[in-house]
Amino acid sequence: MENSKIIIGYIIYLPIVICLTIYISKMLFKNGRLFMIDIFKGKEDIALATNKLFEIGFYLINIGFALYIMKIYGYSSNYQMSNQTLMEILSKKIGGFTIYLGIMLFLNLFLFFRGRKKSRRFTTKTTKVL
Amino acid sequence: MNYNLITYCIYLPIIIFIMVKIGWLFYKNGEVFLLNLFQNNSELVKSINNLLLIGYYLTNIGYAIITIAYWEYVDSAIEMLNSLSHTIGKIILLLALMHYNNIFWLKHLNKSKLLNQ
Repeated sequence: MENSKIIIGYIIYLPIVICLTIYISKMLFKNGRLFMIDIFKGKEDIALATNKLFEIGFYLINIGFALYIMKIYGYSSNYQMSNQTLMEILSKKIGGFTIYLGIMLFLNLFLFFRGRKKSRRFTTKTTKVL
Repeated sequence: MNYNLITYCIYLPIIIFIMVKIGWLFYKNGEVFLLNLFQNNSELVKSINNLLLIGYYLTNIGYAIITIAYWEYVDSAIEMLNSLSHTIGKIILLLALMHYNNIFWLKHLNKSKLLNQ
């Protein structure tokens, strides 16, 4: 089979990336529940629904990005790729995706903090007026 | 199996062990500071701490993996040792810098909180 190394690369890349995304979003939104309940001031049903919607969005963005960057460029179909080259290409893709995922996680955490601060400021203002 | 592949196989376990160990230590010892900052709301602090740990792992292990892509060509045992020590040392130095940065911010936040009270 010509070019089987590239296919092996895809077979290694896809499970790692998809499992990583699912695990990270599970952890993120399990821990983010408290923030959501804080933001919506204890209205649990609306908080959990919002949390679920955010989780679906997180899946869509990250798995979409992972598939988008999957293609291995620059190798013609009759080039014999060595194991070392394959490992270097894979490390670039997986490492880059992992850093991207970390940045997305910190961005989400920042959004949680901002929402919490905003809702808290709003409640203090209303209590003062009352 | 050429020298580059052997280098990668030595490099990855060492660096992942260091990262996981250091992350775990920060996770354990940073909880007290977070508790102080968030008025002893222990549930919230636990989830914030978990998320910070995961973010730390993702960015740092991602960086450690991505350095493999830009590794120099190695063709003897001595060069292997040289490049291994150089890369691992660089990553540990970066970690130390980030760590001192974190300590500085913790001190700063705690002080500003005391001033607000």
